[in-house]
Amino acid sequence: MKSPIWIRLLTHPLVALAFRLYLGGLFVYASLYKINYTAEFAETIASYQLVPYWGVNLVAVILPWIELISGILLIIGIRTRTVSAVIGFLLILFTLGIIYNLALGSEISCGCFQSLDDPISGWTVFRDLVWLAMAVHVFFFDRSFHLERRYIPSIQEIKE
Amino acid sequence: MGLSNIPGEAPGQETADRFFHLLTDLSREVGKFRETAQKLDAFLLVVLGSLGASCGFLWAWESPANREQWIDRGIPPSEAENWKTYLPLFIGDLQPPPPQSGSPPLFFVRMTDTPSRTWAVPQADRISLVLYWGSGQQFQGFLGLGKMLRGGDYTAEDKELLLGLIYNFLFREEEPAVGSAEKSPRQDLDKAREEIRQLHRQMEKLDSDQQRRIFYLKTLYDISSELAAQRDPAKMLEEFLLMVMGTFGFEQGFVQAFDRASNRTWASHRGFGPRGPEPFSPEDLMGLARPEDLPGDIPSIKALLPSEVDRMAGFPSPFLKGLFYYFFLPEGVHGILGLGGKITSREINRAEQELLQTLLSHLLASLSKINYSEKVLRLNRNLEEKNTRLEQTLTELGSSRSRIEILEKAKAQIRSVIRRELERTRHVSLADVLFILVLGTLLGLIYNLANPGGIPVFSRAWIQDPVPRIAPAQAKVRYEAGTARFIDARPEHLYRQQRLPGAVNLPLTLFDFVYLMKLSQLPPDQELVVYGRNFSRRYDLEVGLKLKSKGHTRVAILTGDLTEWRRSGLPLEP
Repeated sequence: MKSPIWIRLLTHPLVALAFRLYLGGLFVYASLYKINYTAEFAETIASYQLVPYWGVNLVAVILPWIELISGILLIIGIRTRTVSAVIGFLLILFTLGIIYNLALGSEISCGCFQSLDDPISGWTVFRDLVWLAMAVHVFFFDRSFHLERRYIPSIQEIKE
Repeated sequence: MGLSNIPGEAPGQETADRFFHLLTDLSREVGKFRETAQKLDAFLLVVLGSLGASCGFLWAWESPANREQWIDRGIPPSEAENWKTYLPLFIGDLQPPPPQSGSPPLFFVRMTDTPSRTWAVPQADRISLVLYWGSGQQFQGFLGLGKMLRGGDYTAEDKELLLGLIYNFLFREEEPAVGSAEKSPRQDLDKAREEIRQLHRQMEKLDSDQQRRIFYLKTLYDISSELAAQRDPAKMLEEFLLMVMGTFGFEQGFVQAFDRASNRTWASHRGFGPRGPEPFSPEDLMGLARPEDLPGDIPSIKALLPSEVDRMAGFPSPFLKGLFYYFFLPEGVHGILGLGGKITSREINRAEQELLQTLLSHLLASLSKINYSEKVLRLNRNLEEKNTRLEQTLTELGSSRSRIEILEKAKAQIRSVIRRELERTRHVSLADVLFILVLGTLLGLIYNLANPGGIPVFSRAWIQDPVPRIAPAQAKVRYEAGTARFIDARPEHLYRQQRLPGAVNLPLTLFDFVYLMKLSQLPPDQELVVYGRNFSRRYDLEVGLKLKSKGHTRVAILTGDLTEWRRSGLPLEP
């Protein structure tokens, strides 16, 4: 039995591809500023008060690079499932941090792209949840234009 | 003389030899005696001995003189009597045949192989051959011979021999041996000598025939062995031509053969000068014999007429008087042999022609042998090549099989690796996550280290922590007494949110500037109370350390931060 057209459209691999490219670009873009302004990003992390003092700088040094690598891998299509899972996990962390700080009432800046972002709000949470949904979509429906799978026809031949 | 029963042709060589020896023996033996009885006795003995007869008798009589002689050897008297009794009864039957050309024959012979049956002589089984000879009524007789000692019957040759002996010794037209007892022995001797001379001439002729035959045989043998040793058809033809020309005394010779299977022509000539005759074209050569002349499956030789050859070859006309033979092998070899210009004036005779053909058939056999051996060699070589190729193929097959096995294994391994990798692309892999983490960590740390704007990952202050603490209660006393200056170490936005009234905001990032502006004039022993920390930051500690490094001796950190302060009921603003 065929599924309804809107479901088929929604779950179309090309949609997943668009999400994948968008998310990948987003993460690459976000990581670039954080990598160049580590000290400010460290302050942002500290402002969330979720990381203990001894780990703040370390996270500030490493996290942008993980974002960059994940973003690149997602764009070129290598291990997209793992990467989308990693990105989804990061988005969950970010969302939880925002929600936590919203609950505390601390008016901190999001720091998602720059240190001088708008303060966190319900909109920020919603935006992060949309991105998370995209990551989930990519996880389940993405299957086109993978660098790895470019070689799959020949790999299938070898398998035979 | 009318020797109607003696063969006109020359007797066989062996018979002639025997005859000659017998005649010599007889002349010698018979010549010893003068009496007729003795002579007849000697004659019988020599005949019995030379033919190997077991027994025999001789009964001869002369009509006018009415003298008779009976001689017997090895026959019992009773049997001899029976023969004497019965034989005369049949003399009438044994008379000469009716004359055909006027006068009756002077000598004739009757012979029977079964005398006792023919003439019904009782108890006379010992004698197996009886001859009657006669010449009208004048001189006649019987010769009886017993069974051969070696067994078997008398051959035609034996009988011929007997006839010759009887004619020569027992019967004479002019002087019968038996009846010439009173003639001059001198005349006898002359006659015998003349006879012997004739026989000698005959013998010589036979001897030269024999020599020639031996020569032929030798030629045959020589050519055969020469041909057998040859492997090259061209050389074989050349040698054959030379030997044939030498043997038969020809000055010019020409031989050519064409092998249709290999389309090769071999030709050889002698005695034509350096150029020689043009070889026949294969078509001309094959056209020399009509297909119906060739039996197809056996080698054949055909004598050609000069006119047949003349149509095609530019042979000189004297040569065309010679002999030409066309030969053919069923393997597809056609050839021609031409011989001409006899050295001696004597024409080649029939026997020599036969020999020539025999030699030619030897040549054909040898050519055929070469053909076959070439064929066998070729087949063998083919077989060897095929064998080598087969072995090579087998080896290659073997190595291919092992290579295929290796490849199969490799394929299986690659397949499993690929399958694993494909599975990994479909699933979330912990290894991939770890890889991203490790790579991110490494790149981050390296970049941070190399970047001039990098931040310290760990602070020494956390370990050294040399700054003393001050409890909120004591701080309150100092606050209220106004003896201590309070310093807020947090970033400005936090300071603006909530602060201790009168505290100086000294964030680490602006430390140098703010310190210079607001705190540099303070005496070093001025008491300074630093506050401001949370879960993620130790601002107080960092700033405290900085202040100490600026030479302030009395720096303390407010324990419990603003939370404790507020709990102690102390004022905060705003």
